[in-house]
Amino acid sequence: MQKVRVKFTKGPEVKFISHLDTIRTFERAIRRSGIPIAYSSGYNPRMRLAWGPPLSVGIESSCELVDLFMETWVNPGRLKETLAPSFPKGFDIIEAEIADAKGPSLDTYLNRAEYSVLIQSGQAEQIRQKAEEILKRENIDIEKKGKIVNKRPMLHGIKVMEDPLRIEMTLQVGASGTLKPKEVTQLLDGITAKGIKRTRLFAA
Amino acid sequence: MTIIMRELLEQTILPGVSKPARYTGGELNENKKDWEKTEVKVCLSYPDTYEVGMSNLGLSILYSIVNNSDFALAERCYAPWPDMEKALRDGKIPIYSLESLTPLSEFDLIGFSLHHELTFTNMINILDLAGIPISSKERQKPIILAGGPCTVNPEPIADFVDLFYIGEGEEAIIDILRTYKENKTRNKEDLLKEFSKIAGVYVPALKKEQKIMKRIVKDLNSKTYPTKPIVPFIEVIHDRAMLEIMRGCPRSCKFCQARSIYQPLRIRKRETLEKQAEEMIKNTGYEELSLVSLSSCDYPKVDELGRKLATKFEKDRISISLPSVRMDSFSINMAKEIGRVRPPGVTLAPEAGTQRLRDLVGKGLSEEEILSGAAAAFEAGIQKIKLYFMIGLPTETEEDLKGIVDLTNKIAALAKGKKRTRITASVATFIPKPHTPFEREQQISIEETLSKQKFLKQNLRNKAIELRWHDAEASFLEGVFARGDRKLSKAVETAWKMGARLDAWSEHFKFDLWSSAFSESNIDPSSYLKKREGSEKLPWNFIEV
Repeated sequence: MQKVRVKFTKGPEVKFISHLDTIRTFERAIRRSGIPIAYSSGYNPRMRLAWGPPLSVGIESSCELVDLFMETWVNPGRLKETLAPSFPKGFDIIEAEIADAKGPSLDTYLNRAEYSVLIQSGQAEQIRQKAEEILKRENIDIEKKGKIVNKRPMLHGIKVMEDPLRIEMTLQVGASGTLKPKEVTQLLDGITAKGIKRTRLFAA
Repeated sequence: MTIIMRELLEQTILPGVSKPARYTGGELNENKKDWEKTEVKVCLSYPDTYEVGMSNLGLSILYSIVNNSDFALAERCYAPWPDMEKALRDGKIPIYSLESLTPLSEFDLIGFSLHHELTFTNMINILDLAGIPISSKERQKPIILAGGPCTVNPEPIADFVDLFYIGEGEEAIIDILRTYKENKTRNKEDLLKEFSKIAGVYVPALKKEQKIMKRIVKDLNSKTYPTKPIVPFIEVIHDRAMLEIMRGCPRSCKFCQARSIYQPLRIRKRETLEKQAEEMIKNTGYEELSLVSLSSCDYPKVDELGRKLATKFEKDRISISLPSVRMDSFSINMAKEIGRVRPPGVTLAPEAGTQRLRDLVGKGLSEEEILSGAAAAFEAGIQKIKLYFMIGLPTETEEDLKGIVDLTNKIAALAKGKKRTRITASVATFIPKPHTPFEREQQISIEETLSKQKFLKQNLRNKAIELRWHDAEASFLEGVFARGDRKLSKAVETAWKMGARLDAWSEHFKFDLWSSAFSESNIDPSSYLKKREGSEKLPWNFIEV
């Protein structure tokens, strides 16, 4: 079966749409476009889509990924052209390419995400110092459902950039645990994020 | 304004509220007309949450009609959840329309669609959140209009609304907007006089001179149907394409208000429906198409229509559904066949437990029909069965309550040995509604409701059956407003001031607050539940449906 990997953006217009709503939006856009998507068998057939790491509500992205399994072979370029106009504003299809149908699924092999956090106001140097201090810590204990988890191993980098003032961070995502950008900004106390954008998903 | 508003919302308001996508707009097929170039602007509002409001077909029809006109635009606004209300009030941000984020006070008109008495407080809350005086007398603009089923007795909310239109809005809305366009430079009093000349329009501020006749659309086939409805991002109550197949109902249950509101029966042509079904799926991408009406199994040759559509959409795994599938073998087999991608549940509304009472309320079903229908459902492998009953119907005795228990048990017995079968018996309190044969009947009190519910709970002890009931206090309030008069406006305002919001939501409904509001307004609410004698004038007498 042909697997097509689609890369798309989630613009500010749709950043408050949850992962589940994004899935529904995709299913409906695919149906409108008429591309030959494959369905699961059984009593309640679903479109065969396999998603990358979910994005939290409120975060934009320029690099979301989903795999589409096709019923019949399609030309990825044509697929992109057919699919793109079916989406509401805010979802842009930027790439469609053939992926190894037997290869690992997106959610198992992707484990890193880069985020860019735009800062409302503050001193770059101060934030930088705080970031360095955090990177030196051995433990970053975050409470989740009554359990304390050390998320330090999930933090892979914080960089403070200027013009505009922003923090770029590399964090773990995926099945083995996720560190959210908001959890990091909370550690950098005293800053207000103006907007968060996921800029890259990759495997390390 | 809009840009500043968008930034404010995105950065400070929406990140802190639950389900922020309720408040962003931007859904597929949203219609954003040019604000500057359009003469008349109306904001259409269903005064409940986005999920409830976006499921309403009537408003979707009006939205499409207004936006297809050459002189007017329609945008949308729904009731905010309490966290959003707080964020708006704290941030001193006026409630806004989803399309252009325009504060509601900048619209020429705001139209409320009233489908449930327990949304009245939301309506005035929306006005207040927009900084608009809630009382018609204290307001110059915008013009507040209201339509929908509740307006067949408009008196309880007459203080807040400038004009009501009674009946179907397809034509009335354009008449109203055009009248506004032609008279907008005039003062409100003159404007209201002009509005009152439109058929079906009731202006509470003016003296009633004649009866108001409900508006109806004669030929539903000639009207444009919204085949490009907005597709919400978030899951709403009716998350599917809704195709109206007929309006009105061929049955004559005496308690049913919908029947009188939507009569006469008008059937939409099959060819039109087939064409529109195709357009809707193409424009929305929905996975389900529902053939909507008050009694869809009564559509002539509904099986042929259903089958044809099911075949047409099979390759895209689109299922065809009916809003409620009657429990007889014909309907069940059809539902099963056309809804092939999803196993449907079925509903049956015996309404009463004994043949005597079923006959009295005009529900022609015999016990034999009910049981054979249930047997057919189980035979067909249906797992979800929902039964609707009412308590407090005129002349009801304990015998009738026992009848509910017996009938439900008999149905459950038919399911014996079938695994995963779920039978739900849903028990509502009978609320006499205006313009029905029972409009003068008595409604039972909260205490009587509770004791009848208790009787059912004690006697219907069967693990296979889930018993559900309507909240006694909410039904009481609904009954008060359904047959209320103008004095009640005061109580609505008082309750709202005390904090009543989202009264249709059990987690927000505060009955003690309403009790205080009634006593503060010197109103005995239970007096509205009484039997109305033949000599007594009814508050809705001047409306003709």
